[in-house]
Amino acid sequence: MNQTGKKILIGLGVAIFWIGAWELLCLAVASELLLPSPLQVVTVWFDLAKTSTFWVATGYSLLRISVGFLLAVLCGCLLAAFTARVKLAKALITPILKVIRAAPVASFIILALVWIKTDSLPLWISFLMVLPIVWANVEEGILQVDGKLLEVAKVYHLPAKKVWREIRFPSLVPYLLASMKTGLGFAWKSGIAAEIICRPTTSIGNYLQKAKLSLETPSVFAWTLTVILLSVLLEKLLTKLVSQKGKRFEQSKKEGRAV
Amino acid sequence: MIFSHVSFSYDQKPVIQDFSYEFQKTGVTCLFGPSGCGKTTLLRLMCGLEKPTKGFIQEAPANPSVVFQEDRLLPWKTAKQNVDLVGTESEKWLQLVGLKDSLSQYPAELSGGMCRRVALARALAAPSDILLLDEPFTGLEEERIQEIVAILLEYAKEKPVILITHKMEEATMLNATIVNL
Repeated sequence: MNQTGKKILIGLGVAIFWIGAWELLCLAVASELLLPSPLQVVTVWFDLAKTSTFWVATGYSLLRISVGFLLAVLCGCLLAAFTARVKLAKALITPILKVIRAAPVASFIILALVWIKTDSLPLWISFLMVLPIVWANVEEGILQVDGKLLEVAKVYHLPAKKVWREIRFPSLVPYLLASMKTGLGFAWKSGIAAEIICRPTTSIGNYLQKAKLSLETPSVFAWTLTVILLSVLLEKLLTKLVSQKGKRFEQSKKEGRAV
Repeated sequence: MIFSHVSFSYDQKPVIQDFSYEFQKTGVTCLFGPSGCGKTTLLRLMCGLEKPTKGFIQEAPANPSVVFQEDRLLPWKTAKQNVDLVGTESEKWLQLVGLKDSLSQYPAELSGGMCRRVALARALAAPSDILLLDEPFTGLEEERIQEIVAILLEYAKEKPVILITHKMEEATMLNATIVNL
């Protein structure tokens, strides 16, 4: 059996083990309200998936969080380029970003509820959570560019634009991709948390909260399952993008850059 | 290129002291000397990466082509793309150094000697008025060295070649003028 086959088999075994453990626990608890069975959750999930409400809510949540994430990536890159060049700007901005990193996401959500419209709040929360991650990583990438390659550019009189395109940008790609991978998980979790607290009409968070308030525990599990599935799916998509586009750059980072 | 009483210090530690020499306009010049005597620093002064702390360099080359001690290839670019970055006719130069079958390979996929030849092809492909080489034959097999020597001798007919080597036989092969540091 090849490596992929082995991996699939191990993954399947682990999944069966945990679903089995869940089922046993469920039998022991014997209360749908406290702990629904895996089969009940899957049944409710399929029932939900048949409704347009489910897809519209999922679509809107995905849209809000994606926009917040992409905006954070863009602003994080611009901010990193700025602070890598201007030391005073770095000194000024660093404490703010450190506070954002250290503060609990719930505090931000509650504070932001005062200032921002409910519908767009998850977008801004995702943005705020991802921004410091992208900024710190990309700035590190900019500062870590190989001086020896820049000397090659200087000797051969490469124009600044070409130096950015051919040397500086490829050097920071591994840092950018790593921050995107980490940031995506943060964006998704904080975005859903914001939805649960501020409850925009069409959102996963709102339906999750509704299910909780009406004590529909299988429904809570089904919506949570949706969040997990989407999180895994998005991470897989990004990992694929990283392995396709960033393989060469990642390799150069591991091998110690210029060869 | 004329060096007049050139001195260079790094962190207040003198590396080159009062060096004067007029390099020939064509042909090969070999810089000889023990490790740490400032050969590489001299090459860096020639290509403008360092400025003398004392003295001056007259007629410094405007467009030097350099092969550094390390290959300094961009790991995310193929052999051909590395040469294309600074010069033209990359395929011709890579073929000349015996790499016509490795155009689309990345540095990580090439051996040390092959990377050295890509660095040489890059220096040759760039429009230049002088060729500065820091131990260019490192990692090359004997037959490859002969091929590269022929290419360098051809270049040296019209423009100067200055190289650092530790081997006297390489200087002899290149009919080089020796400068002891």
